[in-house]
Amino acid sequence: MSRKMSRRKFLKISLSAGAGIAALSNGVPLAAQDMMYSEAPELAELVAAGDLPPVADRLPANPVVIEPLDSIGEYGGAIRTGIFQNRGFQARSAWGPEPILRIGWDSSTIEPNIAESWEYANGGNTFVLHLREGMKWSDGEPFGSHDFDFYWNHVLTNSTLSPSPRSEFVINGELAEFEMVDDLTVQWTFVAPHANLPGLLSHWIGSQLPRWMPRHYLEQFHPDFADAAELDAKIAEAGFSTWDELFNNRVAVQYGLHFDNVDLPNLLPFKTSRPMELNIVVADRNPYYWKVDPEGHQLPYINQVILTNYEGADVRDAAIAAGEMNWVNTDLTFTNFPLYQENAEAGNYEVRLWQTSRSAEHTIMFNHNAKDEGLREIFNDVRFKQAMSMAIDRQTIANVVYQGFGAPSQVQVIPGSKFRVEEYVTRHTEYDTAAAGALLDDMGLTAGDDGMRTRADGSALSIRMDISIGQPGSEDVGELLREFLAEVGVDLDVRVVAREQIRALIDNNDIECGIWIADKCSDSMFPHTPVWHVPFLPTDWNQWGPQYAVHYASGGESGEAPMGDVAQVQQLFDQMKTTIDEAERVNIGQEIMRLNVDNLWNIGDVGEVPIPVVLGTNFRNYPAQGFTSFDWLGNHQYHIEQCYFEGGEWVGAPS
Amino acid sequence: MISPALFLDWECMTSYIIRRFLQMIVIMFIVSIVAFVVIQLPPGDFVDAYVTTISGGETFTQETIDALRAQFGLDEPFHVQYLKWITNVLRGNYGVSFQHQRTVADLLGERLPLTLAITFPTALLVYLIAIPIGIYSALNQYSFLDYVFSFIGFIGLAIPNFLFAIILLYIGSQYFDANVAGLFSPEYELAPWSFAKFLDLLANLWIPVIVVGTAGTAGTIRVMRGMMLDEMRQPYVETARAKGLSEARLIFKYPVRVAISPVLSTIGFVLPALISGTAIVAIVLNLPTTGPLLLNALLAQDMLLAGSMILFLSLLTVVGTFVSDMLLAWADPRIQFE
Amino acid sequence: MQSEESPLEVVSPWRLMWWKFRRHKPAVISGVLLLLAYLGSIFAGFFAPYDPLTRGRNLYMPPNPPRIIDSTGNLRAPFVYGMTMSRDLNTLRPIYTINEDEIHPLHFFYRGDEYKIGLHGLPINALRPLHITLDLHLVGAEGAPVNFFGTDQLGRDLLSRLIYGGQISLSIGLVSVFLSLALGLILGGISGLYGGWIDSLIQRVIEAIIAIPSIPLWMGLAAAIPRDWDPVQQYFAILIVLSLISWTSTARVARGRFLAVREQDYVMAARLYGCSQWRIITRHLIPSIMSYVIVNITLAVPRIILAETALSFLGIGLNPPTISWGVLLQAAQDNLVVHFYPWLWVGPALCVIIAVLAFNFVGDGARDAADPFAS
Repeated sequence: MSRKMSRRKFLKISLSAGAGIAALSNGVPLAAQDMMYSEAPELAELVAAGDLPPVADRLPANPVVIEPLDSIGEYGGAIRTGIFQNRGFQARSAWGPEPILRIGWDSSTIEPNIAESWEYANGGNTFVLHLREGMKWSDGEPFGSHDFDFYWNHVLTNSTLSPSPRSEFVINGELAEFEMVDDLTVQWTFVAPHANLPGLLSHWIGSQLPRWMPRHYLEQFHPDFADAAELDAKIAEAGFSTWDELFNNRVAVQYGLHFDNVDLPNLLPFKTSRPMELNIVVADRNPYYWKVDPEGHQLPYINQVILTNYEGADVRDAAIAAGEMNWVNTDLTFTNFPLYQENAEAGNYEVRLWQTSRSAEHTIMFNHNAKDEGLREIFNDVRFKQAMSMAIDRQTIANVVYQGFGAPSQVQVIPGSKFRVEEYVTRHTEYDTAAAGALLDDMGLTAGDDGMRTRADGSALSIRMDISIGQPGSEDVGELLREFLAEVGVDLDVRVVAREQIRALIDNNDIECGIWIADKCSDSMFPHTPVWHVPFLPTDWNQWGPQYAVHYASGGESGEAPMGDVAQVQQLFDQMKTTIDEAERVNIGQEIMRLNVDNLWNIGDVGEVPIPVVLGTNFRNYPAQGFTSFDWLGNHQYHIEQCYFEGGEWVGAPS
Repeated sequence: MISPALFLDWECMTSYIIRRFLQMIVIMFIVSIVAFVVIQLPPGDFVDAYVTTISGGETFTQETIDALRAQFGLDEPFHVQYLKWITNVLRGNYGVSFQHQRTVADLLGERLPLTLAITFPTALLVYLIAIPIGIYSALNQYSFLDYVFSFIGFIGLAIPNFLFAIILLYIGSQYFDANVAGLFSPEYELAPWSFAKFLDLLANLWIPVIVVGTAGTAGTIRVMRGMMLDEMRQPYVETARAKGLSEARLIFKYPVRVAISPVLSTIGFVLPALISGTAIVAIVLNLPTTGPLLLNALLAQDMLLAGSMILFLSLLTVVGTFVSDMLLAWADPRIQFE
Repeated sequence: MQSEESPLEVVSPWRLMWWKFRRHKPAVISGVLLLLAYLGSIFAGFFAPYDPLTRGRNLYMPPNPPRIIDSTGNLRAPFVYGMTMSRDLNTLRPIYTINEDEIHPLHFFYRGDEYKIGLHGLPINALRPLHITLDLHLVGAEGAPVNFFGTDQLGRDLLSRLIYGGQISLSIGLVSVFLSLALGLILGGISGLYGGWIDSLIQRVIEAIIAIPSIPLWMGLAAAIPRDWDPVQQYFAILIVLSLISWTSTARVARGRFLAVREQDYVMAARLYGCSQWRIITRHLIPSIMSYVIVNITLAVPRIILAETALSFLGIGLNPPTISWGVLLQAAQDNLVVHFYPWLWVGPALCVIIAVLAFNFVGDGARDAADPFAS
């Protein structure tokens, strides 16, 4: 298989398809008013029986029209999917996360979704959202500004439910001022333009806010509204001791998924009909879903989602291989591709190879704040990192660990990103042990008789690398790195430890060399969450400058003050936060990329390693090649609601 | 040779039971403190675990983390957290699981019945198979069957449970079209309880029972066999034989009752051990039992869920030990209540 | 008594036991096997064809056995065929064809990878100067896939890894077995022998320890081990922790047995005749529990080897790059291995099974030999 061919073709397809369809769905409704709406047979029966209002009354005044990827679908069938150990986000796009804004088919552009449009006013300091007229919650109650008001004034600013306000609405340390302009308009005013807000509203937080919004339902659990005696009775009945416990339970805080509370209204294509019980949860179509296809069929096409929470990754994968699922697309690993592919035909599914948000499979991070003074000095010398980067035989990593796939890549951004500069991606990625050795000699790290180098004080140059347990491929890459570095005389002491242990190591600044999956490197996350490129978030997995991050997050109160390029990259990030102009944002982003490759704070291994996606053989309207990752909340950019099973049911469905 | 069985002094026994009961309360109190300490020993707390693993990609600021910590009461000193928990437990309120945002009682109620459905047959099977085989092996030492049982038993001991489980899953799904994971076939997964669903459960129960039971069976066979061999060599057996006692009566009258004592002295905590000890197998086989719930609660440092579950298992064990002691006294009347 | 063999000699009890042990054929064979296993571990560098970390070009290669008969039926000096790796176009996994034209004669006492005499993975600094670097291997062949048991995902030789893995699995695990046994016997014995408040106290301590499920105890205590120790030291500490927990069941059994035996007439009689406490313990009590002890050891050995895998599963046990049978088994708990590369679990599982059987038969033989009543 030719990687280059497929990549180029892939980009072409995804970009052209994206541009075309985005234009259609992006706020340019077809003549929706003239449309005759129709619905799934199950719903039609309910309407006929008088249990449900007619479809035209359930839809908003101007329903969102979704142009299907390939063909108009047919109703029926069930998505069968699986997650493990309650890690929720894998399933987000099965439910359809429906953030307030969303990411387009091109995996980059921000589009309207729940909100019909948005704009900046007041010199950029005010952000205005316009909502859709006549949109309804899944129980038929109207959705509107009053729901935002409930969230803002009774959840976000309620000190019991939210002891501190969400940072997404804080700029320069000041919380926004919220205003409900009218029934369909809300706005926030900040002390400076909040340029990343559209990005955030199309991402995780944007998909979470609606859970706290159905005020008509939630008021009964909130002391601001509920009768105290009634509320106490409800708390006692549910076995809780305080009202916030009950409230959080009713909002289904668990992983942001609607697993438990069937009564909580939502705005998603599906709503829970059977709560999580013995690891299985079922969601049925939402009769009030607000999207239709160009022929006026109310979406989603598919009837039901059946999700199994497996107790472990191995058994989930065994269940895939046994043909028990028809839609699994995150937390699959390319290293397991042979397993999925071998059983595809018998299991009535196919395996597609998509891309992730990883600019490299791993980022290798030498701690620039290392406690060991000697090591710190070495790690802060860019020659050392260049030498380390050139000592890595990336082709071997690709061949041995990734079945021959993968292109040498530094930790930058994924192909197709507007921030990407090709030259930066490949700089210092050529395998050259002689050059690496020369750089190390240059630094005075001379090799002894056994080929191993010593530090200036004569002690052995031994660096400890902590790898998190259970990340597919990481242990093997660690083993190869140990071998490659030994080749140039550097002893890498590789330890495999629990994830929580690594957390503790970072918090205590005990990391010497860290390694992590270099994800979140896409247009939909990098601008607001550049975890690798900028040390700003001490609570994440950046391990090259943990004390710089502490310094940034604490406003200079603790941690280590950065100098030079590190200080500059933090300033650039600050600038990005308040810059609305797109061209200027790209410039800033690329400057951050340049500083990164100049300093090699992160060293990447191989990028563009595909991720397998398992889909039922007659599952339609999903792209042949696409992107999936947390960056797109799974892959909600591909509109699960317009997918369908040809023939109305998965061919592998259990009888 | 054998002194006549000491008659049980009922008065003595009642006072023994009362004494043991009081001791149990003290033990449970100590256990509750130790459990609370042990859960907190690994680095970090629930919020760390939430941020590092469970949330799956979301990024958190320090403020959010502090807020979460306050929400869960994790910013309070240890003894305050403990007192809060234990007073609630004494009032019958086991608290709310941090990870699930559901009450602990609710979560346990969902999983306990299935857990018992697996562990009871397993424990029963272990004893039904292991004790007769152990006796047989001892009586026919170095016979062909003895070697066969030894060999199979040791294979059972030597393959890790979860590898065994994965292999059985593979064989089951490739050659028998068995349901890969869980206790129900897909068509019954969503069905309400019925007799057909119950039969389906029984049909799917064999893999977990075999996997969980194998190691225990092999171990019990070895212990039983060894003890029987010892007992059979005791001079009294020869004497009894010389007196013309039939072989079967001779064996069951005394050697079996003595040989079984190591088995009996552990029988009390077989159940709790199966419930918690099979966590890893349950993960591999995707059994919605209490084991994985406990393990995940520990990994996530979900204090109240883990604490309450440990307390519950401890209670089972303490009661089990007591039952065990009673059984021991029954099997070997020479042991007195002290 | 076996006095008929040498009626005039005074035979020491140990000699007598040895004679009896020797008659137990499976025990003798197992003893020899164990001896070989220990020799193999001590001189792992010599017996292993490769260094356990050396990567070959062939990933996931199936076992390539040594042969003496080639495809045309001719008898030859031992050799291996060459193997050619390609990728399955559908699943992308490595597949192999045996290259029957390519015959690599095996060389004995072959000079290959360098190794140090000493325990691999036990980097005890004080022993470093004593390490001798050698490169002599039992077998090898230049540029040939000498992988009798196949290779793993990185192309490392499984046989070499198994031989090195025995170093840890056959040594430090046993420490915990004996420690927990000793603790259990002593405390259980005291409890059973003296009774009274000591008994009560020990029993309640046991109950409290047993009452807490093992997994949280392991996880909690393992977390208390200093992290700058190297992995083997950490594992050793975890094993000590394990034995501090696991002595309780032995103690309960020992107590039960002691209680029972204490009341037996012959022990009463011995006491009445003024035998010393020590004599009663060593002559009557210890022998009465001997077979339980032996069975217990033979059961504990596989348990402790497998505990490695369970602990690794929880993230508190040994992990790569340290090599042990448990680590190898843990790495084999993988769908890919079960589906496509079964030799990766069969190899370590066989090692554990053979070791366990051998320990067991030696135990059986030892028990028979130690039994004064056996004919």
